[in-house]
Amino acid sequence: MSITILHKSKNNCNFCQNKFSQNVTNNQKKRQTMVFNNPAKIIGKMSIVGQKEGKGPMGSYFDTVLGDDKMGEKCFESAEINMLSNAVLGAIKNASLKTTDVDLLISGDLLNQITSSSYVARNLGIPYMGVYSACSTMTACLSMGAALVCSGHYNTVACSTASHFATAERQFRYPLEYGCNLSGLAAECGYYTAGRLDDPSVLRKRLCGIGANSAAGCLVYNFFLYRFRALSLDSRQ
Amino acid sequence: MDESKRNQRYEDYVASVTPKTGTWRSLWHSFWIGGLTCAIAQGIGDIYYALFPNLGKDLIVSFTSMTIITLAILFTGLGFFDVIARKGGAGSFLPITGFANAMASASMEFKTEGLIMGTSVKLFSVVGPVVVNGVVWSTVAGIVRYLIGVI
Repeated sequence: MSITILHKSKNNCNFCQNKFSQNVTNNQKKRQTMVFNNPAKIIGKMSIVGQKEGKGPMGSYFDTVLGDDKMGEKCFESAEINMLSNAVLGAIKNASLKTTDVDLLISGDLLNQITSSSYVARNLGIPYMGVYSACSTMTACLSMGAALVCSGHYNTVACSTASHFATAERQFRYPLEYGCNLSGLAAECGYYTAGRLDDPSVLRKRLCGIGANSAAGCLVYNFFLYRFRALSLDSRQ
Repeated sequence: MDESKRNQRYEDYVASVTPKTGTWRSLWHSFWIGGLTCAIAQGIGDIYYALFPNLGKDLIVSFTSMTIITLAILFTGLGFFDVIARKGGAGSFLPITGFANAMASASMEFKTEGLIMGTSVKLFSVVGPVVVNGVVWSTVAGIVRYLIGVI
C-alpha cells in the first residue's frame, strides 16, 4: 500500500526528490507514517495569537489576535493559561459541542511540569494527558489523539498547545530586558520550527497524510501559537 | 532517497534563509556605542572633578561608575536598554552597564514570583558565573602573587 503526501505548494517542495508528490515506501511507513484504517477527522479549531503574529504573513489565518500581552492577568504565565483555555473552549465551540462532550484533552506547553496545560485541564474538568515535545507538541498531540480516536478508545479528543513568548523566553533563555544578541541562526530556528510545525495548513495536511481517506472518529483540535516569531525581532512590542 | 543529499539540501535551505550578519557593520556599531558609553562616563567624571575637586581621584571614579550603573538600570527599567544592546552587542555589555542590565533585568523578570522566592533567588541567574569566576580566580591570583612574594 502506498499513500501520497501532498505539499503546501504543489510544485515547490524544498526537500523532496519528486516535485509533485512522494510515495511513501513500506519502510518509511513503519517509521515515519502512521496509516489508519479508521481515520480521525478534525471537527473544530481555534487559534489565538499575539500582535506580532497577527501582523505576520500568516496573520489572516488566525482566529483571534490579542492586543494585550498579559490579557489583564498579573503575569505572563496566567495569560498563557487564559489563552490556552480560551483556545480549547473556542475549538469546542467551533465544533458545536459542549465541554462535557470532550472525552480527553491532550495538551502540552513549554513550561516546567507543563503547568499551563495542567491548570487548563483542572479548570475545564476534562480528563487530561500531558505531552511534552517542544516545538512538535501540536503534531505529537494530534497524532496521539488520532491514534486514540481511531483505535476506538475515545470519541472526541481535544488537542492543544500553548507557547507565550515571554514565558518561553524566561524558561529557556534570558530575562526579557536583558540586552543580548541572539545569533541569527538561533533566532531563525525558533521561527522556522514554530512556523513549520505549528502552521495550521501544514498540520491539516500532515493529518491527512497520516489518516488516509475515510472518516469515522472525530478529533477536536485547536491550534495555538503565541509570539514565537518575535524571537527574531524584539522582546516587547 | 539518499539521506545525506537530503540533509545537504536542508542545510542549504537553512543557510539561504538565515539572515546575514555583517561583521564590519556589527564591529562599527559596537565600537561607537561602547565608545560613546565610555566617553559619557569620562564626561561625568570630569564634571564631578570640576564640581568637587577635593574628593580625590578614587572616589570620583567610584561615583562615576555608580552613576553609569544607575543610568543603565534606569534604562533597563524604562525598557529601552535591550534595544541599544541589540544594536551595540559587546559595545554595550562589556562596560559596567552590561552587568547592571543583567542584574536589573533578572530582578524585573522574576518580580512576579515574589520578593524572596523570585527576585532574591534569581537575581544572580545571569551574572552568577561572572561573580563566581571573578571571586575564585582573583583569589587564585592573590595566592599566586603572595607565594611569588614569599619566594
